[in-house]
Amino acid sequence: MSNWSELLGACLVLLGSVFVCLGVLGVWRFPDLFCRAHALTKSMTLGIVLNLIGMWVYLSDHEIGLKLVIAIVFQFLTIPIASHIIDLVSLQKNIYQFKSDDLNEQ
Amino acid sequence: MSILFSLSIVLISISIFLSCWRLIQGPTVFDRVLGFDSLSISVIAGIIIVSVLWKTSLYIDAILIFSLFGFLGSLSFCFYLSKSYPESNDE
Repeated sequence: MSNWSELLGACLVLLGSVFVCLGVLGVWRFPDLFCRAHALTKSMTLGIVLNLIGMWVYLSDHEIGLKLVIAIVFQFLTIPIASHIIDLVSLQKNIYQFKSDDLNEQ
Repeated sequence: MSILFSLSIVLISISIFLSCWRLIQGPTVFDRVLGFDSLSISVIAGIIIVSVLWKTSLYIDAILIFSLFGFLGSLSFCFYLSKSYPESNDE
C-alpha cells in the first residue's frame, strides 16, 4: 500500500524536475530577456509545485502538511512577481529586444 | 525507484550548471538577475530531492528560507537597478 504511494511520489518528483530542467533550458537558449523570463516563469512554477506535491505524497507525513501548503502558495506568489518586476524594469530601461529581422542579418 | 531519483538528480544538476552559465555569461545585468532567480529555484528543487531521498521532513524550513531569500534578492536588485541603471537609447 505504501509502496504505491512512494512510486507515485517518485514519479511526481521526476516530472517536476523535468519541467524545471526545461525551464532552465529555455533560460539558457532563448535570445532575449523577455523570452527567457517567459520560459522561467511558467515552466519552473509548474515544476517546483509538482516537486513539492511529490514530496508530500512520498513522505505522507501529517506534520508537514501546513508548511507544504505555505511553501506551494509562496512559490505561486513569488516566482511570477519577481519575473514580472525584472521585465518591468528592463522595459523601462529600454534594453535589447529580439526581432525576427535579426535572424536574417546573421 | 532509485533510478527515478538518479534521473531527477541528473536533471537538477544540468539545470544548476546551465543557470550558472547564464549567471556568468549574461549580456546585461538583468540577465544575470534572471539567472540568479533560476539558480535559486533549481537549488530549491535539489533540496526537495535530497529531502525525499533521505526520507526526512526537516528541510521544509530550508525550502521556505531559500525561496524567501531568492525572491528578496532579485527584488532588491531590481529596485537598485531601477534607480541607477543608465537608459540606453540605441535603436
